[in-house]
Amino acid sequence: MFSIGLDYLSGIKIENSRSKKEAKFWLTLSIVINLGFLGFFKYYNFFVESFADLLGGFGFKANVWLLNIILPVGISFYTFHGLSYVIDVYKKRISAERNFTDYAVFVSYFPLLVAGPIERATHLLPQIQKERNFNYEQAVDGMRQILWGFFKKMVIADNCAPLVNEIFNNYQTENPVNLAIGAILFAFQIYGDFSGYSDIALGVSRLFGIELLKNFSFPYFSRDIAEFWRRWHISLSSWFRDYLYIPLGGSKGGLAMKIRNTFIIFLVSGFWHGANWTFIIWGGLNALYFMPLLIMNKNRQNIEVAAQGKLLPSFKECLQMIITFFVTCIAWIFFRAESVSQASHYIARILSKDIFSLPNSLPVKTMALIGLMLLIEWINRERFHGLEIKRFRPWIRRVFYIVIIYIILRYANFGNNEFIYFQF
Amino acid sequence: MPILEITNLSISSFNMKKFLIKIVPYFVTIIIVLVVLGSFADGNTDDNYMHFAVKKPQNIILGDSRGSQGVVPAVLKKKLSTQFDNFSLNIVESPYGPVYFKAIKRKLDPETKNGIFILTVSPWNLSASYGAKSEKDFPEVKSPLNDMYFYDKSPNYEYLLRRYTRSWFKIYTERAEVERSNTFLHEDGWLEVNIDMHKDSVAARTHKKEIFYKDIAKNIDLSQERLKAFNEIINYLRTKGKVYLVRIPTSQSLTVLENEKYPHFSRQIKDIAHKQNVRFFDFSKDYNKYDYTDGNHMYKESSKKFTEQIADSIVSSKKD
Repeated sequence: MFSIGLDYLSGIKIENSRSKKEAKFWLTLSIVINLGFLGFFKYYNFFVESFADLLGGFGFKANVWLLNIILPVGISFYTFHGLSYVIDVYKKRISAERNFTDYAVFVSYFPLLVAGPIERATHLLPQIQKERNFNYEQAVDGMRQILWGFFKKMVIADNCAPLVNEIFNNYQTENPVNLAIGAILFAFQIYGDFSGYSDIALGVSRLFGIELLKNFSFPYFSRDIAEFWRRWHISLSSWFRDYLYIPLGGSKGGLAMKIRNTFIIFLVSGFWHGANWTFIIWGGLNALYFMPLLIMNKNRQNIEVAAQGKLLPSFKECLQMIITFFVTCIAWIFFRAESVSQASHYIARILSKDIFSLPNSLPVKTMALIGLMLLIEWINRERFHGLEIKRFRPWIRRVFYIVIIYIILRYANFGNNEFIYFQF
Repeated sequence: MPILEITNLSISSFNMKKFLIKIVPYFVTIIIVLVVLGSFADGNTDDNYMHFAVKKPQNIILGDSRGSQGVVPAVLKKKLSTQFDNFSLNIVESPYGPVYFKAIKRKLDPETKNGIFILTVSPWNLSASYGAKSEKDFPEVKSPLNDMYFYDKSPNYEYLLRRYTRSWFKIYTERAEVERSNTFLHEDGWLEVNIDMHKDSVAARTHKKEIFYKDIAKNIDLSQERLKAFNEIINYLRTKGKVYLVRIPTSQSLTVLENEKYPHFSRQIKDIAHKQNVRFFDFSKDYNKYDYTDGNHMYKESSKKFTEQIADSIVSSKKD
């Protein structure tokens, strides 16, 4: 509530400012306090522990005071909502919101409060302000999106989760092939979990006549890492692009500046996910993947979806997609691991000569379900979401719904499986 | 109201009606399918479901997994000519404490007057970890005993919705009629375990159990909160019938481990029994008379033999 009140007041003060200096003061105040909250709750322990470790390295022993509190739910998301609002008001991209209720709804809008997508005031506020009427087509498609979100979360992510946990918890004794399977399954777990949540949030919003920003666009069909990052967690990537990369100079400077700025946004993006070196390395690794494309100026060569207008991809596209997927899997190992040393050992064991041995067991059912998801998403890869099937005849659509509902009831995991991104 | 707004409103409400008419059949179908699947729930569904899906009993057996596997209500019924229900779950979900006490009050038939209550005790189901500062830290706060309201509904949809985490189709495909699972919970609450009893398998499981108990022994001790609740349970049940405390034997190695950690346990229970004026049957020294699946739990055939011994003790105590 304090954060909402502060940003609401800052927006009005910025707009009413008689000088640039005064506006800047309110902008700075809002940014400092917002990031201060985020830093205190989310990163305090990390910095203190890292500092103590550093001192320990020099032979000093530091008794540090650590916070033992629960991270406020959705703090990373609503902080970014608030920041985008005050920056947009400062940049005069939007007028300050005078109606406190509308502003509070924008920041704390329930479908996206805990796991995004990270909305922009310029996009969501006007939709909250205007009167909305029920739109049949929008609501029906929203229901389809919700159904697809449940499929991805309950069938894909929640079936992968126990297998992934088992493999990561026993990485020291698992067969290297199993470790590779574990990394691949985690890639699908996090995709099903996070994009599933986004689909549910977007679908629910569409029932109220509100269109949220698209957060995922079939990222595992990307042909290079730059395309992957245009399709994965789009609302966060574009947030960093608009509020960090461009203010830092973006790609206007020379190559050195481009490289520096790219590293900054990937590292900050990793750090945004959590106060752990694993996330920072995950971000750094993605930045490294990105570099060759940036240096060769090929980071925007795959703008359109793979095999656009065709049924199947070419051999080259297929190969590109597979390579991109596997390099992201390597990075996901850092994201999933408890520590950097665990991730390093995990990767080292995968790369051992035993990688050519047979796996202990294959999760055939889960792999078949993942295959089904990929097939449906491939068919709809040029659409807004994975189950946008309005173009099919009504009876085909109904068969689709029944089959998906049946699969959810038959194969879903109904335990209390929280969404991974709730922790961020 | 301007005509345009009225038109928009009526179009909107017509569209919403159309939308609801289209989606309601899907929801109704899903509900019907779940209701039908849930109706097949039985002792195969999981290791607890049947505890919440039978008539409220007047004679009850309490305790943890040693009790749930070691005391056979059917044998008691035969010997004592009255119906029993084994309401023992396991060490995590039904140790003695405020949660179990609350559940017992809900489970027991309120009309009970001359009931027989067998409270199986072990040092473990009266202990808590050093880290547990209050009842809120006890593991059983996550047990179904803490949040279930209905204990005698069949099918019990409340239990299935709250506690069943697998696909409901499995309730149907894995029902007892098709094939009994290795752990089958009888309607009377006895957990029948069918497991390989080859001596090597038993030795391996026993070894694992010993390591497990040695490990937890480092972090736990008898809990005053649990002992208080245990006394309250006895007090409550005494107003409704006869209470018997029973210490179930375990394998020799586990008995040694228990006696090392809790050398005065039987003495303490004897004192409680004396103060509460109830009988305590300490069978812990009879460990060589029975077979165990893992050193901790009795094998089903031994359970029947052991339950006869309890019944005989109850009968002879009545004569005293």
